[in-house]
Amino acid sequence: MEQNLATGIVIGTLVVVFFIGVSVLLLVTVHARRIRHRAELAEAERHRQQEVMRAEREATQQTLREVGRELHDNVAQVLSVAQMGMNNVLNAPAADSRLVAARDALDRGIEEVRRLGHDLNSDRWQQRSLVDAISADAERIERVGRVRAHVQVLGTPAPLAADTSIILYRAYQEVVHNALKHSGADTLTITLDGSQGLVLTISDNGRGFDADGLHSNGGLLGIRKRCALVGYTAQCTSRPGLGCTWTLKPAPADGT
Amino acid sequence: MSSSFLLVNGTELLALCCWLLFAQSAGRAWLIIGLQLVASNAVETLALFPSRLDVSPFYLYNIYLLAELSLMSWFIVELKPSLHRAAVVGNLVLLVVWLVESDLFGVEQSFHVIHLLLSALVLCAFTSLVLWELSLWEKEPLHRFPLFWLLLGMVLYFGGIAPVFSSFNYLARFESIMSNYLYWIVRILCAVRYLCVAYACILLYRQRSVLAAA
Repeated sequence: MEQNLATGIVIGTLVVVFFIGVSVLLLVTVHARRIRHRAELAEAERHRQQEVMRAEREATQQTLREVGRELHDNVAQVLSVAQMGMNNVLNAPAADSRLVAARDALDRGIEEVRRLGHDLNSDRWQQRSLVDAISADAERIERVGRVRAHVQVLGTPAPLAADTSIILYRAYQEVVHNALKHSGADTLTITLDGSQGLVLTISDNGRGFDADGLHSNGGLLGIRKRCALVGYTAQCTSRPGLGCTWTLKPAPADGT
Repeated sequence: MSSSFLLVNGTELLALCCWLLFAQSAGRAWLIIGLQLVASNAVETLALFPSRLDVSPFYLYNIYLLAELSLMSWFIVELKPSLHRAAVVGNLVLLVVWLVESDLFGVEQSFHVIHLLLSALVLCAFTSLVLWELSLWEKEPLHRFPLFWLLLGMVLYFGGIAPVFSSFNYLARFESIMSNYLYWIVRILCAVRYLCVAYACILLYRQRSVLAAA
């Protein structure tokens, strides 16, 4: 009888341990499947978000292109007609000096409108590089005269896709706009490093700010969001009194 | 004694060393595991020298049963605080069972088998529940979690020893050789449990190293 009891105990133990083992194995398997399912859902959502962002980007580009064309073909033409009229008036003897000043202002206005029209036209990015666009913009900033803008090009930046160039240029414009508007800086240093992808660094010597305390700032988020659209990351380092530096660089391949 | 020593005391010692090296400062749940390891090592080591003890090994084991139940319940409550009340009630009821068994059979004459069986069932149920919750909420594969290995060791041990102890006293009285053979099942389950603990500690150390490096 004791023999039977011992056999029963051994079998009972084996059954219990087997049952527990199988249950845990099932738990682990079901859990792994659930994780895989979640990952698939997340991947599908990521694809959907990318599609939405791509559509948004295309719509934005289309709108900007239309606005640029309108500025160039319509507003600039109207202003040119006004310019011609002014020139006619000013060709008369004893032209009023105030009219001369107004004509000069009109000339500058026409030039700015044409430049803006060109900038907004994304088709133009097929012909020019980001380096050229940023250099031209730095020259324009210098011409205004309030801020010195130095452009440094390191290495030979590989040409970027038109979409990437225009988005990075918009991000650059936003950074420069913020620096000119808020920092009180008198020098901007823009570095384009082509040694590992294209890394764009924009530094100012302004009053700076606490970058850690501004994570949810709309403008900063906008810059990061723009960069993310083209697989770039935007990092801002700043401390009060120590200026600000933005680094736009390609995101690591694993997305970290 | 030597193979039994190697299996049970060896794995317990290994688990204790791993805990001391890798997991002693990993939070309160791990501290409880450490306390349990210290207690079990102490009891198993003392039980190796019965002639030098003033008390019977059964006395040691029966006291240890209470300590283990309390520590493991505390560990479970640390992981799932909502089980606090159930754990307190379970511990009180099982304390009464332990006292009744002590009164009926004495503390030094035999294992408190009923208390042990009920404790094993309660802890097995609690551990299964925590394991289930872990599988519901964790976003990484379970086998990468140190806690998973701790819980797996516990559920296998407490689930597996129940059939052995169901008629252990009876067999020990009439077929002591056979009961000794059967006790090997407990030793193997014990070794599996402590190997799981050791692996959990190593896994915890690896994870913390990766996090620190990141």
